[in-house]
Amino acid sequence: MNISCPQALLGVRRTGQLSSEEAALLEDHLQSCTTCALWESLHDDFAKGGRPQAADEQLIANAVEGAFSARTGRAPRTRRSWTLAAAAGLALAITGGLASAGIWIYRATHNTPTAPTAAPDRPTTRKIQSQPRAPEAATPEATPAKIAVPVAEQLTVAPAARASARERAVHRRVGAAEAQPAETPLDLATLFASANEARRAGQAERAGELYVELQRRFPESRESLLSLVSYGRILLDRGQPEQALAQFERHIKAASGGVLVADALYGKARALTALHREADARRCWNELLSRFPDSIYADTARAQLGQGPGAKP
Amino acid sequence: MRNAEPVQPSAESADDLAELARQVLAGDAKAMRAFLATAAVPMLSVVRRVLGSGNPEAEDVLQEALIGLLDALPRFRGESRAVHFANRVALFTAMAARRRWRTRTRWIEDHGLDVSDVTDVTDPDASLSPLEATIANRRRQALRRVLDDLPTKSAEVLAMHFVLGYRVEEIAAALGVPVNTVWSRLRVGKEACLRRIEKDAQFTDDLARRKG
Repeated sequence: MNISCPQALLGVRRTGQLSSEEAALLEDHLQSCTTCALWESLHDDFAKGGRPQAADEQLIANAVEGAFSARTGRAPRTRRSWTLAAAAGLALAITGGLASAGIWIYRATHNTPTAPTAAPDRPTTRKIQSQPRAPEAATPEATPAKIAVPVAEQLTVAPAARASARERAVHRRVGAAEAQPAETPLDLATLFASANEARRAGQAERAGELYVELQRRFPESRESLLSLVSYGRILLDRGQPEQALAQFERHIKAASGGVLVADALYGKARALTALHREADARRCWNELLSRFPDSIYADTARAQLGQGPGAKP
Repeated sequence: MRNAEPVQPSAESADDLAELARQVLAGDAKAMRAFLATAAVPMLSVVRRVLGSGNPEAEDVLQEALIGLLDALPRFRGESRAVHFANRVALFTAMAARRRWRTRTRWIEDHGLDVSDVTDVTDPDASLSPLEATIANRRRQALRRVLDDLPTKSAEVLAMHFVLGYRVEEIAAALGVPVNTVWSRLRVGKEACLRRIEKDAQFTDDLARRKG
């Protein structure tokens, strides 16, 4: 980069407001100036990175519930947590529609009775202090031994590494599920949250057990409906496509238009493929494409149907 | 050219967020929940861009940023769109978290492990070849390292420019500093970034292979 680099034009370029002459001048410059080309690449790199995906809906719902609880002192609401997850999923699915999701919640909460609150002594999300956390000293040897939860031994933590806040949260939540005496069944919210945490922590077996328990004890709950997709994925990854297929089909049948139907159709098509039911799989890819042409799975569906990534169904 | 705000709400939705912000400030607890849910999606995107998209602390940092947003809301005067205000809170929160995290994990790198490498996952992008995706990852990692090490004021300007996609004039307006000050801080940041990239021999090799 040197004094002759048209840096101001680089900024304007990203707004799409360059004249054709300015754009041509800049293109010429970028061909010869590797430094300016690098800055342009960096802008593109970050513009492409980090987009929330459909699978982030629970993460977003957890963070929102945690922040809300920390600020209001109220226990998170089970039903509302599901609503937030659904809204987050909706916002993720529809670019530009994120505010609508929030507005929808707001209006819904003004027009409907509030859901029963979870037991205050068993919150489904952790609370953190609003003050910025003080910088933690580099004492890597201190933390792992201090995590006094039953599941600690099962998680792989670098011998002298300090556990991340995320890991500590997983320890707390999954550990809470494991520490429950057998005669004290977990409530719905804790069960669902624990299962999700275990799944995200890579503890597929434990997550599967919790999803099965959730479906058995609360078969009519919305959490059970959502768990069908999560557990289906686990079964598929485990090489049990037949059982996975049953989970996905139950979700598709019960959730007429939920946020995870596209995910369930995607899982169903993969399960059918794994079962060598090619014609059924093809029908499923077609259904996915026709019902959710703009979903993140659409390109995969088109490719499976031989339509090419850019082709329209 | 792509805009750097990845989840770009419509003007109507931006107004919706601002309207929710006003209701939160008026003490409406129900509006607060909707406000948080609305702001969380673009904020998660910013958090991920700073921490690395595979970073397992994203949920904690997002929650911290949402609380920070509620705390900062009384200072929101509507000079910018509410979603940009929220994104800046997310940016600064994630940068602070990353500095804390880096302090904890720096010792691991001293033993030959690069934590940021294993937690950065490139989003699926069919337009990039595997090599191009690798190079893009390395560029992102180089910038993140520079953000970790730069003085805070320069790091903020550099992050607002590359992570949020702000132009110099927009940064100056957001921070309330002269444009020339922003240019100066940005130059410091860019020079540090160049030095970091030049030190990365593998990165240079990748670039050479791509050019070749």
